[in-house]
Amino acid sequence: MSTVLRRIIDLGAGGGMRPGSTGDYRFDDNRRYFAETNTTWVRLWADWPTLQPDPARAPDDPDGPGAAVLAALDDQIRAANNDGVRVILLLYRFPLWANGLEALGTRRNTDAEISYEYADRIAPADWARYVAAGRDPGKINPSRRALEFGIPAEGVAPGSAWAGFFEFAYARWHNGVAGSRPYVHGFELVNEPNFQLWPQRAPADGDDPFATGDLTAQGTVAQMMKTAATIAARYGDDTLVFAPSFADSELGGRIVTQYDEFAPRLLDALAAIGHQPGATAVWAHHNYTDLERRSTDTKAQRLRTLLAGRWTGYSEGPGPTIFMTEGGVRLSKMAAYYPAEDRLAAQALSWRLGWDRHHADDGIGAGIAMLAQYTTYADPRFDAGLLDPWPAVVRRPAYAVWASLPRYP
Amino acid sequence: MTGIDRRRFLFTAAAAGAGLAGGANAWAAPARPAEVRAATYRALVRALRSAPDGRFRHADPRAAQRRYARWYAAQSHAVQAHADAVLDALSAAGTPAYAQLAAPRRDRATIAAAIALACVGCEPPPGADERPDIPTLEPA
Repeated sequence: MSTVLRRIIDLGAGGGMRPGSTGDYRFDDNRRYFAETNTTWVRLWADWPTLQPDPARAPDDPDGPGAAVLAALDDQIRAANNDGVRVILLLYRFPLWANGLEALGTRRNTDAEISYEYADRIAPADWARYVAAGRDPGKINPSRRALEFGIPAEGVAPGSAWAGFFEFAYARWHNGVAGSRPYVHGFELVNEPNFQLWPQRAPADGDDPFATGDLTAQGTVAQMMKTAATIAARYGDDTLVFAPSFADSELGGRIVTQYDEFAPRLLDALAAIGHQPGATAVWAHHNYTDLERRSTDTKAQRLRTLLAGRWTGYSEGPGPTIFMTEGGVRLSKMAAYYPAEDRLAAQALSWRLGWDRHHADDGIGAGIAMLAQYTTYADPRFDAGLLDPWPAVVRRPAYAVWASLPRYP
Repeated sequence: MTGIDRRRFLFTAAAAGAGLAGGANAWAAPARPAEVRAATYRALVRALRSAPDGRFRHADPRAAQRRYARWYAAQSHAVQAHADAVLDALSAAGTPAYAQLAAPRRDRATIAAAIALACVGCEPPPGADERPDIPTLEPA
């Protein structure tokens, strides 16, 4: 059996974007759920556009527009500290002033916004439906990547706006401030860069705008990791830094890059910029599909194979070590994969099988240091919750499974 | 905390004459007619149309409500109960103006959930594997 397989609940973006909502650590019985289930880690989200909507006002400007949210985030982190729950703080999204899309932000849900860099934001089939509807958002408003996920043209190197935000966060919440201020055990640099960030790729040769050109987004992620390490060193490098936090989506094309293409290219990019991640750099990954598919041949172990001999960051035992910082079992997938099973029972069974298989030093469990559960209360539009959507208090069968699992610090 | 919690939610709903009988599942009982909820939904969308960044300026309340109704019909009982409860609570307190949606001082969970429901009808649907964010609303 693995000696340490930590469990984290990701409370989603709500607590950092709309304090007081169900994703707030302090909300209703959330703290009780952590205690009941022996969950020792929480993932909270620091939404940069919410904290600093105005570049002229620092997030901690007491009169600034982000002050109330910052205070709420501080308070959530403090509450977790008091509860003995370790915090991973995810730095989320780019404000439009930072990625140069402010003007487009005033035209959301218009053809101008929808059509902007559409091949990097919209799946081909969705674009085709939109065009067939006369490019009228009133008829078809196609699914697309949000403006806040656009990679800033200035990049993320030291001196960039992103570097400034990371330094603000690190200085405020790094482990060294424990005892005097709320603190976190880890910062997560980016969420699912292979799924959310755009563009992922350079334009392809030829006339097809949706053709997959060379991958480019790995350069941004590598630079984030180097910038973060440079800044962390100035503050004692005393806090874990998680990345790249890939989505394990099985989609593809220009807007989603599979983890097994992105990971080796990211390692190449790190080498190219001369950055060798050190002991506080943790490889983070997301894991829904292995759990949902009840896989015995997992993507996580495939990823470890790709990292072997190349990843120089944090390791426990025989490396490489991977922390799953987001994951879970979505009810929508249960209906699709196991139509003969009750969805809630299938969710619980998937978690039980997933835990049992990962809780081992070898096989599926080798090198896996953390498993993640997405949310306590279910998000009705991304339902992997342990409870029915608020204001229900109905604990699902998966809650009992999660609560039965061992506690690791 | 200042946000609405479950107990306060139940109190609010009961005070609004929601007909709750008590017990953990009482909130799930049909509390208001579907027509009232539809009207509440349309009022919510109308309020969002005041967003200064124009994000919702093109949202047609009736069209949005129709899209929402199709989504609602495809949901599980638990999700339908959530949606009903949120709209009932919103209705009981009086549908807030945009300024209150952007910067709520109370009932924050209700308002966040209500905006998420509004986005079902007004915003692009999430793509496969996509987890939709509740949009940040600019101050009024």
